[in-house]
Amino acid sequence: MASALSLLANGQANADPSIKTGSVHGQVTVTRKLTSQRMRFRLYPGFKPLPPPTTEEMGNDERRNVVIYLEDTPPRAEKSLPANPPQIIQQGETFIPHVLPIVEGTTVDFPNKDPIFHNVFSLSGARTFDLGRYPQGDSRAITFEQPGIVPVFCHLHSNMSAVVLVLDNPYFAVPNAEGRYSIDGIPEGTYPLIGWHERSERVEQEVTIIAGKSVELDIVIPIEDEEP
Amino acid sequence: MIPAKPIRILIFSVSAWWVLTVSSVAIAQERFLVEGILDAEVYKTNDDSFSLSRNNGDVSYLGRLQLWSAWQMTTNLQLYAMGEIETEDEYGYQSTESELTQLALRYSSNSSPFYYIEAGKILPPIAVATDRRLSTQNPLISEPNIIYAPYPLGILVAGSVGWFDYRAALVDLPSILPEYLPADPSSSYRPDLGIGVSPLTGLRFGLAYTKGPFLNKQQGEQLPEGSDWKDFDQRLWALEVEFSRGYLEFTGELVFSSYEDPFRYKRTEFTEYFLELKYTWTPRFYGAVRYQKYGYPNIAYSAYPVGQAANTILHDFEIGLGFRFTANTQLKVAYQQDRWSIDYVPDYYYPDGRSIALQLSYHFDLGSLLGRDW
Repeated sequence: MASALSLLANGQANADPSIKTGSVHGQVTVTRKLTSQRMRFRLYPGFKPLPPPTTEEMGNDERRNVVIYLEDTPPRAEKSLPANPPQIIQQGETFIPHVLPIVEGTTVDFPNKDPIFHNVFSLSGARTFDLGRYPQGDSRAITFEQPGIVPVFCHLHSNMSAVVLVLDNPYFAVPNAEGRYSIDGIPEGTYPLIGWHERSERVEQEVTIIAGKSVELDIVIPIEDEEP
Repeated sequence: MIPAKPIRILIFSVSAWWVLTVSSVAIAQERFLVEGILDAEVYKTNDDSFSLSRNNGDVSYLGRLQLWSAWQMTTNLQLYAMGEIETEDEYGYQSTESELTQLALRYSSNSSPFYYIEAGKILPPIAVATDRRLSTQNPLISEPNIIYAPYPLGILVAGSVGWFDYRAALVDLPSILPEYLPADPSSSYRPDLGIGVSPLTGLRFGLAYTKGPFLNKQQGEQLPEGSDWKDFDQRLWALEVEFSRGYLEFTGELVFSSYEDPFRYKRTEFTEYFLELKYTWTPRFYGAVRYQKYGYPNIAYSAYPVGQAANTILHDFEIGLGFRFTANTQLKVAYQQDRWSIDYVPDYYYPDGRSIALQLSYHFDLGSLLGRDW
């Protein structure tokens, strides 16, 4: 998913040949082992409990939940939305992926692949919605029109959560399995480059994009309670 | 329900050992979880109801903290505990109670078909509405009485195969509210069995059965001569229905219970039921309504050596609205009314009750609150 998102961002970033563009790439380092996949425990087990997802399904590397994006980019003449709506799948009582960055105006599908009902809702100021309860094989979709952080939950399973990060431009990426990120097609200029993780302070660095060149910029994501 | 002293000592010893030694190791291994619910409730009731009145009808307050934690010992094995502390002025003065409600080992298979085994002080295994004990799961404020049992000691095997689910347990307490008995029921092991079928996602039918003693052994001397407290049993069949579609949720239970009554010559029988509907209008706003009919043998030893018993029926209705401020914080307001009827004792009755309540609930994960990486 991480690689796919990097490609998604890179591929749609800027299609206008008259605009001179460059790119930025680098290494993302998480200074402490973060995990948003804490131990799960159902205090009142239902009669159709599910086995816990495997390590591969959960995504053991917390770098998958980091998003690198640019701010204050020039406004774009037209929106370039993904041809196929991105998905947050409900499987093994888990939202997969846990973090999904999108550009404003994108519609996200929430298919249920579990043999039980799920619900998807958010009370975020950026997008308040409730998709109701729906069974396996069903899917509901919602469009995110406004930039912001949208935490997503399930009414039925309190341990389920995800975050949709809605951005106002397509210049973002999720690091791959090795922690590498790359954002292409960025118009020339100097911009704040943001490293975001739901349980970290926002990390901001300045990057100057030069046409035809790729700037290397590494990002370190600390967490709040890390004492020096 | 307070367990016998040796059991209390055992439970608290294990808890202390867990907190002092195991948890620190488990935290380091990131296999430890602590969650909780903080409730604040305000009541205004009538002043003479048997079940609903609080603080002589004046405004009444209640605070409750429920905490549970679990330790992932191995991939399949978890040790978990739940306790609660509650302070209230129900009886006109402030009282505080605490209880360790669950402490058990759970083994979960990670193969198909899925099953799990629990042993220790566990959740009563035969009711479908037990999660109403958590305010964040309960769409109303009160809890349904039907099959509302104290937390027993026992061993449980449960799982699912295809459309079917099952649970089989051996537990030491009956499925009856202790406050409706003349004394807390004594420990005596009995089977709790249940099966269910889910032909569609969101639709489940279940059947449950239990049979076992329900009296207190200390009262053996007050029973008819030549009888033992274990001679008098509770038998219970329950039909369960759960249905969900869109924003509508329905839970219902139909119970046929009977009691071998020490002061009557035939079994005392009841047909009880519980119906609950919840509808979510918007992401923040929902409403719910519940109706229940609950029956129990109102056994009184006061007329010793004769004793007396009377069929007592409770009809209870509750309607409420809920509002979610955040995913973890919600406010509920509910109106509840009950009506009592007692057979065989025409000049003795329980006044009906009325209650308006507000409840603010906050669910937290201690790991997130502390910013720790557990």
